[in-house]
Amino acid sequence: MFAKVEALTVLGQLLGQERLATTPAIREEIAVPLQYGYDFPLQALAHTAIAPLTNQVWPEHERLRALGASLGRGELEAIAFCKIEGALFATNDLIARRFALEQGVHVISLQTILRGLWVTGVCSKSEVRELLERIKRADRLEVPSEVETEIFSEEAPS
Amino acid sequence: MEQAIVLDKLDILVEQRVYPDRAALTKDAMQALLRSRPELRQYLAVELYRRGEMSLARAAEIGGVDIETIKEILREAGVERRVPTIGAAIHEEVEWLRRIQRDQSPRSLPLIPQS
Repeated sequence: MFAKVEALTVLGQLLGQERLATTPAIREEIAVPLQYGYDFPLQALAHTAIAPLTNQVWPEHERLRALGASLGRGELEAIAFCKIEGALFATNDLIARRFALEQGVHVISLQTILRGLWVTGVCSKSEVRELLERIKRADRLEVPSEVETEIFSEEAPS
Repeated sequence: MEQAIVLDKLDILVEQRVYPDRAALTKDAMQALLRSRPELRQYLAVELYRRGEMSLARAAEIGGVDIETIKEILREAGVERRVPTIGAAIHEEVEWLRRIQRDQSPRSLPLIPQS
């Protein structure tokens, strides 16, 4: 979704451009909309590395496949990679989030990234608000007020 | 009428060992149905996502479409995609981001594009 609003550069500033990675299955998923005219996948493909799937990742992938019938192929591959390599798994999907947490994988969400942008000084709060609005429009995403509170509150949400 | 008779006699396929048992026959019949009627797969995908039983990516796979298309199908079906709240976990997650900025582990971040 950051690619859709041309904000992958900002994401790179927050996390380090060299740390942004996708797995091969996710790259395949990202690339499909190119076939019917979307341009945003090109940005996503250009700004992210391919996570190297080592021999340790494949058995974990197979194990997770047996457990995670409610997740997509790319998600399972990414979670297996993150578990073996100690990487963070970024998702907004509640099912994928719960599953990854159950597997002991560290997960970050959209609101974490957006909060992180202003907390660390990469962007101002107003810039983050504007970015969130662009994401909502581009991806037709519903963002409940509670989530906006998580992103923007000065106090720690309970 | 003739069709009803044929359906009543499907056990012959089991008796003749075409299928090992009634369950295998039913499974194959269901798979054939979903192959021949992709709109039923999409209906299933929408309902499973709406009920919170599948991730968006899995719903796309079940529907036989890509992620952008399942988003559109869900929108047309009136199913909202909402960012779930995470409560106090956001602070732990932001702390992970800070650790990354300080160049500590974890070292990489797969981006999951679907949600």
